[in-house]
Amino acid sequence: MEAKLIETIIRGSLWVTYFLSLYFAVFWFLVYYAKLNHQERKKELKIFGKVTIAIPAYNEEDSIEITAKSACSLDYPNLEVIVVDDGSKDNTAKIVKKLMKKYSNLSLIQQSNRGKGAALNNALDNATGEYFVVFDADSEIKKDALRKMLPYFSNKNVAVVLPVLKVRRPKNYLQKMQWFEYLINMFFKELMSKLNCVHVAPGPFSVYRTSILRKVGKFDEDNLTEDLEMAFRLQKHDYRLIQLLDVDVTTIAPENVKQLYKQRNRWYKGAILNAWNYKSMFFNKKYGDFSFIQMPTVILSGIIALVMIFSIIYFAFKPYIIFFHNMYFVDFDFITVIKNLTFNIHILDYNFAVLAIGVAMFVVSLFIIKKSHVYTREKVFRHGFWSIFVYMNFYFLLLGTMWIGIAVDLVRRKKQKW
Amino acid sequence: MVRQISKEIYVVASILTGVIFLLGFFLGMVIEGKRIQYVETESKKQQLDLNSVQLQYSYIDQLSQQNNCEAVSKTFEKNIENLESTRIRLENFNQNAILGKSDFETLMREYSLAQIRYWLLAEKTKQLCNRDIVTVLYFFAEDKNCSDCNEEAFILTHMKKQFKDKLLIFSFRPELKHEPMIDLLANAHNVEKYPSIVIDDVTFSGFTEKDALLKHICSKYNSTPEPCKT
Repeated sequence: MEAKLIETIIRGSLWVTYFLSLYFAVFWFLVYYAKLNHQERKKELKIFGKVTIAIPAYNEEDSIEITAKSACSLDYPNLEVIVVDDGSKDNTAKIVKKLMKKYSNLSLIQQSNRGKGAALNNALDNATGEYFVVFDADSEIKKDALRKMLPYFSNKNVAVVLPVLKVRRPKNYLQKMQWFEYLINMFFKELMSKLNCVHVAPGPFSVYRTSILRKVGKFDEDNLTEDLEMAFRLQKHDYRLIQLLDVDVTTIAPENVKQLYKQRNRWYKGAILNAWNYKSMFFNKKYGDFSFIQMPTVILSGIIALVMIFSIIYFAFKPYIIFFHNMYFVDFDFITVIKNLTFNIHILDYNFAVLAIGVAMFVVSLFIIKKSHVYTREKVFRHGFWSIFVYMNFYFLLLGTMWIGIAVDLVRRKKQKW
Repeated sequence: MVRQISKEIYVVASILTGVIFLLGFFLGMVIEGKRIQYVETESKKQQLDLNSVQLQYSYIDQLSQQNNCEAVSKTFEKNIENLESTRIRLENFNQNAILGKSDFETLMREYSLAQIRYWLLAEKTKQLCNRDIVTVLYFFAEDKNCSDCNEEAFILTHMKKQFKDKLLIFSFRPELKHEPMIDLLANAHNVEKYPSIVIDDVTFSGFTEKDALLKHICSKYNSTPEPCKT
């Protein structure tokens, strides 16, 4: 009876999940084809307002040179670059000091290790630019980025403009899977941008209007994901966040599962905790579409991932568990079973509802993959057929499994708290 | 500043999602209709097979054509196999049924009756063709009402694989409403709980382990079949 109840719960949650996933897919399809009033407007740059690029760095001796050089070499006349060394134990500061001899607009601030948020606030305190760029030390940007991005600030309400984030030279399948994920995320973020629903301004080259940053307060130094929290705060203050698709920034993606888990644990946990902190924005007319589609999505994406992974585990393993349990009663006589193996499958045996959902999801996934590559100016087969195959079939399982760990952490934290 | 809520998109997305789900539901109904149709067709075919095999035995009986027994027995065995596989399929269809439960229940009634007919024929022809076979009646209930039925069915299926045409198993689900014949059969063999297994006139009530069944089944053969030798 208990097993029956569990199965009913799993089946019920799965149907709710199917419905919600389908709703979200249809919703974003409509946004894609909708002609909305607030399309991004840009004006040609006539005055080159000063730009401050802040590079927070902690033990980045391997990548700081590329990042700093890439920032200093931007094709923009009015630029200052500040590297904040967050108490690195390696040669980060030494490398920056050496570079300072070559680049006059480069400066270094050293602080004891207090985290990325504190490093950014330190840079913000010292920034003299009209625009403030957060530039993670493991990223690289194209020269014309600022010239392409700053024109979008013509609207006074625009607080931040974001470039396309791409994985830099993916080597193994894990990084190649992230390559697809990043491009798809960018495509979605552009759609979100259409509804002013962008909920995160990632570290690699987010361009802020400095005055707005100072007005809404500094970066939250204790936050797991200060970039996400800042985006939530800007949304709460009714500012616009714009995602572009014609400017690229590349970043290094985790190269093994352990690193990826560490990163996702921080990202997803940060997203849930921040959504909880900003719970007054859920289904609140005051915050428009952000409150009706984006806030629920932040929470539901985790729940959907968990339901999916539990259902897959349950339905995939259940027949085998039953089979081995039953084999006990026939003394594990595998020989008879193998000798009499027959395949009596009829087309009507298939569960067509699940099959139809599977086919629909596959077609939608292909559409999204194709569109996200077109809009980010990439070729779908750039990393070969197998990387797409692996991405489509296994990546969601990997992330779903990670959600289990994250859910456990969140529950534990709650227990400790209350 | 008043922020925009794209009401139209929410409404259209809800309608479209609802329509897609309804389409899915109708697809499910169409498939269910096809499943009922499939089982009905199979049922007709199997009825014809039964008539044919009955006629074949009558022919052997009346014209003393015992030399044809082996060939007819093979057809008989194949028919039972088909019947059983359709019955299992039917059980699965019934479990996933949305609205056609009553149609599937009626079909299952038909299948149970067919099983009884085959069982009676098997008993009758045992002597006629001097067949050294054992017949087993298996009474079971749905999983929720019978925690051990799944295991018992697995044991019987496994034994069938071992004994092949030397063992004939007929499955009945007395829970099936409005079928007095199964009740009659169950009462005649004192079946009071599930699973129950009837071999000749002995009823094994409740879960019975493989060894106990094997011992009893083996004692019923004139010449010892292979699985009884170990």
